[in-house]
Parts: sequence; structure tokens; C-alpha cells
Amino acid sequence: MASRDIHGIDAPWGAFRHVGRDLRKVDGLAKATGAAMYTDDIALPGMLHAKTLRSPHAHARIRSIDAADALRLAGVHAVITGEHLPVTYGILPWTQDETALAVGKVRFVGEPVAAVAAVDEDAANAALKLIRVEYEPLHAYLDPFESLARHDPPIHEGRKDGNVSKHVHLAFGDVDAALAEADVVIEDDYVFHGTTHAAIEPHCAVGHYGADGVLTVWSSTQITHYVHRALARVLDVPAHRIRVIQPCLGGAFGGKSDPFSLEFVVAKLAMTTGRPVKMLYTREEVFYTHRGRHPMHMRYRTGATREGRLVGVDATIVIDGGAYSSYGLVTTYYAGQLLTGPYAFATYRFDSTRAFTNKPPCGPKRGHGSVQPRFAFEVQLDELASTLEIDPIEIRRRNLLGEHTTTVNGQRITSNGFARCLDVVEHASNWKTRHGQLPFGRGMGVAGSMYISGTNYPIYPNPMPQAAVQLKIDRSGLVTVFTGANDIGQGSNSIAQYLVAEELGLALDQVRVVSADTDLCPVDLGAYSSRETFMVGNALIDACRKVRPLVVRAVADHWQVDPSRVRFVDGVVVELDDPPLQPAGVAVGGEARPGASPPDAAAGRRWMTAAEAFQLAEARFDTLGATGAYNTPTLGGDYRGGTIGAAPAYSFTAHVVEVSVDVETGRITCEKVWIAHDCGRALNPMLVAGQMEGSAYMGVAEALMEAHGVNRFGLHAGPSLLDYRIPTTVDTPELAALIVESLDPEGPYGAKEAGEGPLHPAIPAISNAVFDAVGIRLKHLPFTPGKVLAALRARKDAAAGTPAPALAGGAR
Amino acid sequence: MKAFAYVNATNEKDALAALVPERGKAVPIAGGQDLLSLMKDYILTPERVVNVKGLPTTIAVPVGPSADYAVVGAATRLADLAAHEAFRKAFPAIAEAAAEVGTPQIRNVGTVGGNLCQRPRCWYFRNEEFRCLKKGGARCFAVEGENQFHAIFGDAPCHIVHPSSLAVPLIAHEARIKVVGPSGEREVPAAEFFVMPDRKMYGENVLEPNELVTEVRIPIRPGVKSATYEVRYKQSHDWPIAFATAALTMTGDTVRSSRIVMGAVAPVPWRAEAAEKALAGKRVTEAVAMGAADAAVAEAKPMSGNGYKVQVVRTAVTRAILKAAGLLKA
Repeated sequence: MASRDIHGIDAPWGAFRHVGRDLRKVDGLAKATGAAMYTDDIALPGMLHAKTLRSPHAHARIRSIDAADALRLAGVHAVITGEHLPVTYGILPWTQDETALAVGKVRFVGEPVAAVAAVDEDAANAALKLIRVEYEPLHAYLDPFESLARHDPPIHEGRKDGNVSKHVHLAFGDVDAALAEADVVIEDDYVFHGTTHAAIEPHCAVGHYGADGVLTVWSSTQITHYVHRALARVLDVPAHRIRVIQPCLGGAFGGKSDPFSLEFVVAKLAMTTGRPVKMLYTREEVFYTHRGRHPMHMRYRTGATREGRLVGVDATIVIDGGAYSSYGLVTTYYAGQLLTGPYAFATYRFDSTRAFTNKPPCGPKRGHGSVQPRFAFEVQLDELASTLEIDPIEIRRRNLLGEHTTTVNGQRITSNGFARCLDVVEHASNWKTRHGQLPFGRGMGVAGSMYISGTNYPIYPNPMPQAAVQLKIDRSGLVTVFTGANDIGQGSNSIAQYLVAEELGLALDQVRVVSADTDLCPVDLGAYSSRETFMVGNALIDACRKVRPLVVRAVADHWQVDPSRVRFVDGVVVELDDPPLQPAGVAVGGEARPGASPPDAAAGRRWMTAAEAFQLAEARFDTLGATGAYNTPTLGGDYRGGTIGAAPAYSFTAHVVEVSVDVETGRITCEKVWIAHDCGRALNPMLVAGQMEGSAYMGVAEALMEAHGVNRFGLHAGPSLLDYRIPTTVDTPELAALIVESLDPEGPYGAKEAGEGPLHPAIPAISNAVFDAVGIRLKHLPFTPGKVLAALRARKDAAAGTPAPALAGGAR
Repeated sequence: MKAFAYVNATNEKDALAALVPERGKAVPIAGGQDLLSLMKDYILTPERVVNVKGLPTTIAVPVGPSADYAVVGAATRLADLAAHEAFRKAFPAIAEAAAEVGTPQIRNVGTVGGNLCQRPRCWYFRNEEFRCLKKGGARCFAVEGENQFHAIFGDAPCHIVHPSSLAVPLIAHEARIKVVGPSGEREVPAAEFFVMPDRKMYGENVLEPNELVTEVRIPIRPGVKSATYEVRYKQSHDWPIAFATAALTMTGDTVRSSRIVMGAVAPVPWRAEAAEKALAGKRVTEAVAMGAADAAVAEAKPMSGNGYKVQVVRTAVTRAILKAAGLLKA
């Protein structure tokens, strides 16, 4: 089956022409000049604007909703509530526990309760104030331990396990015996607070219901296909009468990978009113919509031999899930399943429990489910190193997992450049002469990580390809790529252009990409799990390799030469010597363009433009096109949940971070981050470096500033970009992106992911650097001045031999 | 945001005529950096917004033996104040504070008057859902809620910290604030301009709804050395966790008298008279500065989650004194 073909790592025409170059993104100029069309730029004739009424209670029964006054307000066209959209949905088929608007009860402050469509936003807002909702407040669970300890009343009725959203317990080998025999065991608690995505573009959707009965929804989503399916289910409209389009998107980071209330609401309101309807969330609504990184309370025990060899890891994790399941089932697995590299340990056990709480639902954020445990484990590993007096980089080297192997939980590892990542950051940061040797207050820390490059888990089980593309070969010389992939700024449309131009020997401007439109594009599962480049890339190569032989044959027959003497280079087809003296890429050189004479023409060799070649092939074989597909091989451990976390390839990252700590104010300044990342092959090094820098930046931000949570009243602590602190350029450390290429045997030309993995090590590396700087271990995120001062005080008191009193007034 | 009428007042007289005595009905707008966010969050829903960017934008720093005070117009942009060379030389603490407000964009539109009159950043006050004391409610949510950025001094029923960066160095420099209203103009010492919540809950200063700040007057005292030291969570686009200004009247390297004022620690800028006493007659050294800082925080009463601010402001006071005296190591 073509979707499982392995295409190899080599250049299709001898030497790469586009791959490996710092090329512009296809939409770079449109974004920079403001010409790009985002969802909110869509304005349709007669369009209405919709707003959402949200719950002021964290947990309450809805006794009644009276919208009569709102409906009477001038300019209001429709009001809908949960009774109009009662069908449940959820990203995972096993946990469909959400409704577009609350039905019967509300489970967090900010939950959508009703929606109004009106001639403008002001009228819609005025109407919201006229909707009378009678609530019966219930006990609000704001702490996951409380919601696990009691569940009367439960957050979700009718569940046999109370407020438990998901529980996973997996053991590999005899951990207890291994830890009992270990020379040293480190045991501690770690807390990861919650953070959110804070994408610049707020969620937006536009619904249109045509006279032909076709429902079109434009949405700022990263999962067009799943939104398509969910709309069909909730609206009870056949999927073939629904079209979902993702316009240009202003950042997602996992925050747009669920179906959201507004998509159903604009669709329903468009069908109800007969008018197009737009809804744009305010920033405050985005904070309540959330789906950000789960808070986790983690207890780790790690054992090692005297030489620093890991013998066992035992983890107990309590996850604060918020009010709904979202991806929580996967999160609960990922929290344990993704820790088993880049270090080998013979025994491993994890027990993770996701609890429902009455807070905005958590979901996937860049590095889904594994950033939190990675923080805990890498800090623990550092503690192990200092206890055993082993250099922190050296202890990591002593436990390398290696390449082409299997992890303790049964995951197949192919390429693995982690050892080189360690070498690269060690060298670049002058680690050997600086770690442990900087003046008090300044320090360096290291951490490593591993992340999935796509997953074999297709969200709803099905045997169809995970990624598919279609090519249209036009006699003008243009190739149009149709891909369901969601370009969310990571550059998947650009990668599609580079790969097709590379495979078919075209100039970049001969390839245009149409993406994320369910009417036009074959299904792709979406932008999550760092899967687009890997999977869509393979599907593109698959499609190109189906159509390329036809074009080559048409030209070869026309010239009456062997097909091996036909070479496509940058949109020009040239005849090679017989036998070819050297690869085409070298023989032709220069910037040959269609219509211009390539240098070889002067030597009397035959040539033609790609357009002429396409015309020859079209005359011979009829209309030209091809489909391509990708599916993962059979992967994963042979146990329940063994396929969750199984990826066709894994990326690896190491960071060294340098910090300075002001011991009189508790402020940590992150001075520099050296990021070495094994991305397999950098298809566009500039984009890879951008992802590495963006990831490290986000990790630093989560460690030092960002905090998403509700306050003691169930309301978001500060639903604004002032109170939710994101570093500006002034707070951003120097970032050194150091690309490591391991050339994965199954990635497109050897490529793996670069968008999520490079975030992980930043957070523990900062904690480890603070230890090097001032001798305190920070185990509770975020590392605020209050926490640093409290830890310094505790250390001072411990050194003085007195028990450590809590800092007056507590520490935050 | 609720729709409103816009009045473009080109001078002081027109501006005053457009304001009304009822609180919240008509509000002046200069840079709008605070007002617009209050309106977007429905904390303020004025019927009329009066543009006062036409108020004076002068920065006058007279020189010579008869120079008495500098004048800064209320509509002066923060960026202009920070960049004014003579002003910066005469009042480094004020210029430094102006240079750190918000972001470059905010300083390019934000004004001196606006900075002094901005409303608190307390997240309960800013959240439409909380009817706190300042919004006519019955309680301060910071008491049992999250309070890591709230007051550690004052013991007032409302625990906001005053958000103005300029207020603190202006008080340290004994500035006076000119206020005009329907019944004429008055001059208020900066130290008396800001009022505690127990005296006035619905505002943070002496202004009546139909009054305007038009200028700030700062006495010129050649012997005074001043500096502001801010400790920030985030270096830009944020308010300091705590900060302090030291204005030292020196003879040689000995302090004759001083003004030490702390910011972001109380509902009003908080003068540390105990620190001033501790400094009097002393040669500035690190130990002396730390002793003064200890005195400054001796009366602090932190809440459940903001104890760390005591240490933070203690450091800010120490470093502001050392910086003013030219002794702060980089």
C-alpha cells in the first residue's frame, strides 16, 4: 500500500534544489503586509454578529432561561440556548461530554449558556444582558484532590468513577525491586501550574447556509477534519453537505484543536436566520475557552547506581483537567508514556489520574502532556547528578537510549540524535569551563527531552490514511497541491510547496498550495502531535512519485532517449549525457527559469520547459494528477494503551540555559538558551530555527511568568494579556538554535518534527541553572520572585541549623 | 465598550465646561491607555468622553540662582518627559520612572496627568464580575482571594496598590499638583493629592469628577540627588512589583535630609519617614542604606500571599538610596 511506502532520505534528482535552504514562507509577505485574510476579515452580505452569554457560576444547575426580552430587542435576529444544540460532542469518540451551549447545568465560570445573533456586536451584547438565567449554585470543585476525594454532587452525572476523568496505571518491570536495590533514590514532589496558549488571533468563526442546503463554516481551527465531523454530528446535517474552511490563522499552539462552541453556534444561527453569522471571541473569552496545559502534581522516585545508571522510575501524577474531557484521555497517557526517552531505564511505573474540576477545560498545548513530567524528571535527574557528584551532562550520557531500539514501554525508536544534541550544547555554551564555576548568582543548567513526530493514534480509530494529498498538473506549468493540512503558522503550506517543487524539479512559483478546505482537499487529520511535515510530507512524495514517471516518459519518448536521460531542474527539462556524467543538479546549476535558456542549451543539448513537458504528457496520458497518502506502520506496545505515544519517529532536544538570580529581589533573569534539536533533516533551516526559538521562548515564559488559573472564586485570575504575563522582547533571552540532523529513515527526506519538542527542556534547565547559580532547587512552577526568596530563606535557615519557618505572609 | 459622545476640548475652559459633577458620567481622555481599557471592561461606562490632549505640554526647567520650580504640563507625553535632557538632569528619579512606564508605544501616547490619575490594576477591581468595595460592593476580595500584588502597608479596607510610577518620585521631590475646576484653581502638594480608601473609596485622589490636573510643579533644589529603583516581574508592559525613590539632600557624601517614598506597596505612594530618620546625618554606605530600608519596612503588614513584597521593596529602598548617592554597583 502506497500510504505505507518508505521513500528514503535522498534527493530525487541527485542534489537538493530547495530542501535545506532558508526559503521564505509562501504566506510570509501577505502576513507581513497585512494582506493575509484571517477569519475575522471575512464579511459577507447581510452578515449578522453573534455573542455568547457565559456562566457566572463555577458549578450550578440551570433552573430556567428566559430570552423573551432579548428577542424583542431591535436588531436581534435569534437567540439560542442548549436546547437548540443538545447533541454532545468531544474531540475523542470515547469522551463526548460537551455541548455547544450548556444543557441543564454549568461546570465552569465562562461556560457558554446562550448565544444571540444581531445586526451588530453592540446589539448582541445588549441582548445578552436581557437574557434571564436562573441558577441553583452547586459546590464548586477548584482543587483536583478535593474532587477526587468527594463527588457529591458530581461534576458529570452518571459516571461510575465520580469526578475521575481518566486513570492510567502501567508498570514495566519490577520497579520496587529495582529501587530497593538502587544505590541512591531521589524522591520528591513537583508542581506544574497551568498555562494557556495566548495565540495572537482570538477564535473566530463564520457560518453560511446556502440556498442549496450547503452549510459552510470558516473557522480559525487547526483541525478542519474533526470540526467537519463534529458539525455533522451536532447539527444533524449530512457531512457531505458541510464545508469547513480554515483561512489564514494567527497562531494556535494546540488551543484551536478542539471543536468549539462558536463553530456550532454560528452554523446553527446561520441555519436559523438564513443569514451569514460571525462570532469573534474577545481576549477574555479566549482565556475562558482555554484548553491549555494541565496543572499536574507529580511525585517521582528515581533510582540509580553509584555510577549514575538509572535503574527505575516511579511516578504518581494527579492532573487537574478542568470541567470537560477534551484530549484528557490522551493527556493522562502521555503524562507517563512519553517519558521513556532519551534515557534508558529498565523498570518504570506510572499512575496518573485526571480529575474533573469546575474550571475552564484543559487540553493540549505545545508538547501535550509531556512538558510537565519532563520538568519533574529532568530536575530529579539533576539532583541525582549533584548527589552522586557527576556532571549533569555526563549523567545524561551514561543513560543514553540510543538509536534503532525499543523503550521500556515498547515504543520503537528509529533515528536518535540526542547524544549529538548534548555534545553541541556542551560545546556551544563552554559548559566544561563554566558550569559550576560562575560567580554566585549566575549559573548554568542542562536538560534533555524526546517528543513524538506524529502519532499512530488517529483520534477516531479507522484504517484510512492519516494524511492525503492531491496534485493537479496544469498545462500552464503550474502544479496545484490540495492538502487537508492546517497551516497554523508552522509553515506546512510552505513545506508542501518546497517538497513538490523538489520532487517534480520545478521552480517554487510553479507550485501553489490549497489547504484546509474540506470541499477541495483530501482528508488530513490536522495540525497536532507534530504530524504535518512528517505525514503530509510523505504523502506529497508519494503523489509526486506516481505522476513524475508519466511526465518523464512523455519527454523521453518525444526525444527518443532513455528516461534516465531526462532531468527536471527548477522548471526546465534537460537532456543529460548518455550515460549521465554527473547528477543533474550539479550539471545544470544556476537559476534556470522556464522560458530562459539554461546554460546547457548552448552546448547543443535539448531542453524544454516544464509546461511543454506537461503538455506532452497530457496529450499522451490525458489529464494529469495524482493522489498521495501516508499511514503509520503498526507501532506500539502490546498492552492496553500501548499505542498511545507510539510515533513513527521521535525528535530529541537538549538545552543549556544560563541564568542570573538576584538574591535580594528573587528575580531570575534567563540570559541565554542554547537549543540543540534533532529534527531529522531541516527541510528549511530557517523555519526549523524559528520553531526552536519559539518553543524555547514559550518554555522560558512558562517557567518564569505565565500562569493560567482561576482564583478562589472560580473566576480566571486575570483574563487579559496584562495579567497573563508573556515576555516581550525585553524579557526574551538570547536564543541560539543549533540544528542537529539525524536523517530519519522514514521521514520525508529524513525529516522529523521541530515544533513542539524544543520547548520541553527549557523549564527544567532553568531550575537546574538556578541550582547552579544559588544552590536552591525550584520544584514548583512558576519560578516567581516570591518562591525564589522563600527557597533562599529556607536554604539559609537550613544552613544555620534552624528549622525553616514559612516566609511571613506566604510565598507566591 | 458602550457608545459615548466625544467632545474635543481645545483648551482648559472648554474641557471644564464639558465635565459634570456626577461621577463617571463625563471623563477626560488624554493618552487613553488606562481609560480605554476601563471602558472595554465595562468598569467605566461614561456618556461623554472629553479630549484633553489640548492641555499644556510644556516642560520648563529654569536655570540660575533664582530658579524656583520646574513646570510640566499635564498633557506632556511620558516619552517626551523621559527624553528631556534638562529635566532628566534636574530630576533623575522622575525621568527614570517615566522612562520605564508600560512600553515605548504607551509612553508615546501616555501623559503625565494620565499616569497620575490612572485607576488601580487590582484584578478584582478590573474584573467586571466582582463588585468590590471600589465598585459599591461590600468587601475586598483580595482579603480571602489572591493578593500577591496587593498592599503591604496601610491596613485599609481596600488593598489596592497605587499604580502610578510618577507619583512616587514626584512626592519625593515635593512636587505640587495644579488642579482646576469650576470654582477656580488650587495647588495640592503631591503627597496630599493621593488619598487612602477609607477617606475616598471611589477614587484614588482629591480630584472631583469635574476637575482636571493641568500641571505639575517641582521645586528646583540643586543639592538634591535622586533615583528611582524598580523591581519588575516583567521588564516591559507591566507595573513594578514594588519600587522606591530616594531624594537625598547631601553635604559631601553625608545625608542632611531625605525623602524616601515607596511605590506599589499601599493604596497611595508610601513615604518611609523612619528610613529618612535613619539616614539623617549619615554617610551613605551599603550598611546605612540597608538599615534605612529595614526601618522603611518595619511596619509592613503583608497579606496571605504577598510577604515576599516586603523583601522586594526593602531591596528597592536600599538600591534607590545607593543609586541616588552614586554608589549602586551595576
